[in-house]
Amino acid sequence: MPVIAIAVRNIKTVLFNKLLVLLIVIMPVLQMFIMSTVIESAEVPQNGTVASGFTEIILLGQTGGASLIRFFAASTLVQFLMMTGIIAAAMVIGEKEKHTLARVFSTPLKKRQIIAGNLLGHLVTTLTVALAVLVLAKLLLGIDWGNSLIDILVVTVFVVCTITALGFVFSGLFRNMKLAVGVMSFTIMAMTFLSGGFTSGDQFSVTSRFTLNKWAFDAYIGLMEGKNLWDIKFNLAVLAVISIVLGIAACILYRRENVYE
Amino acid sequence: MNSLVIMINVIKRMFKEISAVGFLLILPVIGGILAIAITSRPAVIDVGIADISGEARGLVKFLNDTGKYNITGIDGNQAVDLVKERKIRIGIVLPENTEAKNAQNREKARVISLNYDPSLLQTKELVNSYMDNVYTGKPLPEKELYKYDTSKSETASMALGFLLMFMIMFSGTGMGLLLEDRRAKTFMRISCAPLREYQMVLGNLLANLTLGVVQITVFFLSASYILKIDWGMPSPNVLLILLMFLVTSTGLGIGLAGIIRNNQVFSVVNVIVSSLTCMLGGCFFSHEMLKGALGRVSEFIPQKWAMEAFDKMMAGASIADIQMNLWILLLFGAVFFTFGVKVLKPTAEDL
Repeated sequence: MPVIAIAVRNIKTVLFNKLLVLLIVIMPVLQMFIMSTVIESAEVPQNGTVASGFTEIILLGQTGGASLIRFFAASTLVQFLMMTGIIAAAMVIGEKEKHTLARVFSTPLKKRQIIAGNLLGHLVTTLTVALAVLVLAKLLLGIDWGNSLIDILVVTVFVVCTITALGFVFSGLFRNMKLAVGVMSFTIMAMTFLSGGFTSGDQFSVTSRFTLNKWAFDAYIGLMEGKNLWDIKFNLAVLAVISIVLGIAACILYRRENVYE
Repeated sequence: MNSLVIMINVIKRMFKEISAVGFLLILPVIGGILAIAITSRPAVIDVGIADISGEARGLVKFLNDTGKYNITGIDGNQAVDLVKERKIRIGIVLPENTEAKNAQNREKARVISLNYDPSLLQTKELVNSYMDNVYTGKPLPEKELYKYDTSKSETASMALGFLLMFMIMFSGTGMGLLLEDRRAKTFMRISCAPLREYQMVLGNLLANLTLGVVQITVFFLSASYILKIDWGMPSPNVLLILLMFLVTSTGLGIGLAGIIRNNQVFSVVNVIVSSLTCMLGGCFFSHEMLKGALGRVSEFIPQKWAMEAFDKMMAGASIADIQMNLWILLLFGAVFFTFGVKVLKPTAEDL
């Protein structure tokens, strides 16, 4: 029950902030719109054969302009899901700075209950936001997210767990919100860049493997191309492992002694 | 004078924690260097060519000379499968008969790929030139045209684009101190002091400008002298454009801190503003690709003017040729700063 209470408080804190919700729902759609405009203006052909001069390009399967739009839609979604991790980190550090976390620790609550409550609240909030983004992108931009919304939401759960754990790690590492948020923002943008999320391209084929983004948006793209959860099990497994490792680190860093200052 | 005192105080507060030194001085440099190191690294494309010892020998030599390809011989019938299995990036199958004199009977070379991207287009152009040579005897393009240097301007431009993104992000983070002041009620105390509003804002602006200059200088020296990056233009010119953009980004940070009072919102907005404005400003791709309303919006994005200045310089323009861009960047800074002065006023919430 305390877990639910913490989760509800967490959900209220974020969802009652109308400007914040508006930003994290509208901005990804706007970013997807910009990318699709750019791809359309570049006149990228759809899949099939494109002949010119003495050569013909053969694009295989679900490729071409549609695949680029899918790629950027997925990478934008992941980028914004990761930004919600910043909110998670800011909330925890905000509690430290306001000394309300010390009060929470003075209650007969176990550390795992506090973490579970926060995680649950953040999960519900982010799933709500993700759902809004998916629906808006589908309605306004016609982006096809695949056959199963449930599968997409399952992948989202994996991504959110991973990024929330990362948010907790950062909130444990820093006592100053400005620093924690700054370093986390840098990490997210650097990972998006290294995964090729802003530009795509061959330069990022190696570096992308070391980013959360690649495993997440590959999973989304797989689903958008008609695969099912079993087909993307490797991506989900990688996200689960990262999530568990970060979760353990978060539990270690989320110590009571860190808040008595 | 008051602004200078505020500036010194803000800088002292920024470096209060030892980890802030790493964050404010090392991370921006790492970000910039990372961007440059990756975007300037030529990607070697794995290409499979059918009939490598026969008709395609000339093509193999031609592509090898560009230095951009890792070439393997494949069976023409398996080209599609190999591309699908991602064992090769691009498959090339030349026509069996290249003797046809009649243009209508000339078979086309097949270039097979999963993705439609710059690597594919570049390869297609090269294969087309080769086939043109085979069919019509038209000379192959000069080797030098296809060396790595041809993409230097693109990669330097992209790297600078990412640097601009990180600059905006770090300027915003520095302005987070203003939000701290609001929360700790010191903002109200400062407002009670015999200070003009612009002096307070100017103090913050100067502190962030000073920090930005240090960040840029450290980055610039490490990129130019340690990584030996070739900017494609005189180094001081790059520094000048970056400094002008710094004024804009710091002004933007103040403007944001003025209108946003919530820490969570500010932290998210800062990241969103940096990535979205960079997209609209042509940091990741040419702003000319933004058509219609988006194209018109990009005219109001500072990055567009900075990137345009870089592009002009790379094309051989002088400082005099880009002075309009530099003035516009300064103007953006002045507008954001004035906006910050007007909106950074204490309200009942700050009491």
